[in-house]
Amino acid sequence: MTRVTSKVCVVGDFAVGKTSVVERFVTNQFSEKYLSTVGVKIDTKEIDFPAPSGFIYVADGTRPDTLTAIEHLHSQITEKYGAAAFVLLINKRDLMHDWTVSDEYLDALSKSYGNVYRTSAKTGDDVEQAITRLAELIIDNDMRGA
Amino acid sequence: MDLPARVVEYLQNEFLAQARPFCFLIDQNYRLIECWGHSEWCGLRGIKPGVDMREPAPFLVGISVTDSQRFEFLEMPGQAFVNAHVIPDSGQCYVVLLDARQEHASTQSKQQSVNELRLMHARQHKLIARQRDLISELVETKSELDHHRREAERISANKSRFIAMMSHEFRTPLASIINYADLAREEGTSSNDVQKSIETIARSAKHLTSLVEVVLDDASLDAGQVELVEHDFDLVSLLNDMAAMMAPMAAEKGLSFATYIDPDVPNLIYADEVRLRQILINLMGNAVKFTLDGGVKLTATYNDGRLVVTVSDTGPGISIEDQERVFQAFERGAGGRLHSQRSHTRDGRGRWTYRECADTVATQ
Ligand SMILES: Nc1nc2c(ncn2[C@@H]2O[C@H](COP(=O)(O)OP(=O)(O)O)[C@@H](O)[C@H]2O)c(=O)[nH]1
Ligand SMILES: [Mg+2]
Repeated sequence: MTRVTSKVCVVGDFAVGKTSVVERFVTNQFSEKYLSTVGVKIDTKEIDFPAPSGFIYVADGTRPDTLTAIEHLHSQITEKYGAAAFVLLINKRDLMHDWTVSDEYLDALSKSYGNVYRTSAKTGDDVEQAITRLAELIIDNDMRGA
Repeated sequence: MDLPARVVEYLQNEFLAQARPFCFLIDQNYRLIECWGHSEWCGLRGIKPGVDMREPAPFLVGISVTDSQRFEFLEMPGQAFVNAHVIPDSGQCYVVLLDARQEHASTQSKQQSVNELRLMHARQHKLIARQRDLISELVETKSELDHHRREAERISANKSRFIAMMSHEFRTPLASIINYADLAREEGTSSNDVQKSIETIARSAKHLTSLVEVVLDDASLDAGQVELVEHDFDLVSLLNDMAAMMAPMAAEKGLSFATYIDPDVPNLIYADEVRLRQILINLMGNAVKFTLDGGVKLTATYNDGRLVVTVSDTGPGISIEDQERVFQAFERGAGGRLHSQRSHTRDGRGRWTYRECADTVATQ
């Protein structure tokens, strides 16, 4: 089996669950406590950030503005890095009763973006599937590039 | 002008003590060549030359070792936060890690407060929106309740109107009973006339009984409908009855009373006998009441399957305009729309019902 190491960038508005999704994927754990992450920010263009192989966009289903933020980020990222591999996670699926994004909007997103997942870092729903899908996309891109 | 050497030296020592720099040199393949400084605090303890530094320091993955770069607040193993400086030097590359734990902690706590505030605001907005929805729901419910209340008031008003109307209808047959009873009691009345009086009294009483049934049946009126109860009955004898009931009342006022029944009028018809009786009694009752002289005439003709019963009189009549108003329904159709034009004329209320009934009977 070959090991492929890729740098993946997780982007999204604050408190949508980026840290939690990664934590769930890497250690299979979840914490309710919110501890804001301080670090390299992709939207600070001055930072010479190496082109990642892929992006995990994370939005929060209970906050529709976080989806708008993704649309923004996506166009910025596409401008800077070209058409990179990405998956879109609409997180906090366990709070579906509190979601304010309509199914029609999500369906439209799925159509135009592809690879849209309704995830929960809390229950782990679809986190693995989404990130595994990104790995597939990255490998596909690599093979096409080679 | 440069700072004095002593000050520069002081600041250098101060900075080195605070930043605790750990420095390592790597080749183009990220392999460790040499390292300097304390590495325990940043989780890079025990690294040996030759090791791929991307393992213990994953942030190096994909980073060009030929460009100068700096990264703030990188999280190292053991949750140490560093500011990293990548300094290329003739094919090799220095990486300097500076302790940023304190700076990170204070930045983190500031950012945390701001984020929590923003989250709170977002939640507040949501609550306000929900409140707004609830309020509009309340308003809706209130207008529904108002509607029901108005409906209840309307029904109650209808009932009062109905009762007023019915008491008016009771008067004619009652008057007829009294008249005929007086006639029968009078000395010198032939036994034949007494017999006739008793028959008329019986018929009036029967009609009153039917009216009582109608009153009991007033639920149908609430629904704004008059339900017809139809059966075969002898029309000619009904008309004769009417004549017998009205004639003495007309005579008492010095009015003439005539009945004309066209020979084409069938004996037996299929209709609502009680309603027809009601209509005729009221039309004729009013005709007698409001005619001061001359007479009242009851005519029945039959044409193309339609029975036309006419009550005419020589009274003041009703102007075309008033006829409109008299026959204007309080309400129309099942939609229950209230008409602004309500008839408040003395006999208007009564006539409305008869017109409605007359229409209903006639179209059957
Ligand atoms: N209910 C629920 N809460 C989540 C989920 N993912 C993250 N959170 C919570 O959302 C808050 C922010 O998560 P975090 O991962 O720190 O967001 P980040 O700022 O995008 O890294 C934390 O309180 C998490 O516990 C989820 O799937 N469901
Ligand atoms: Mg985070």
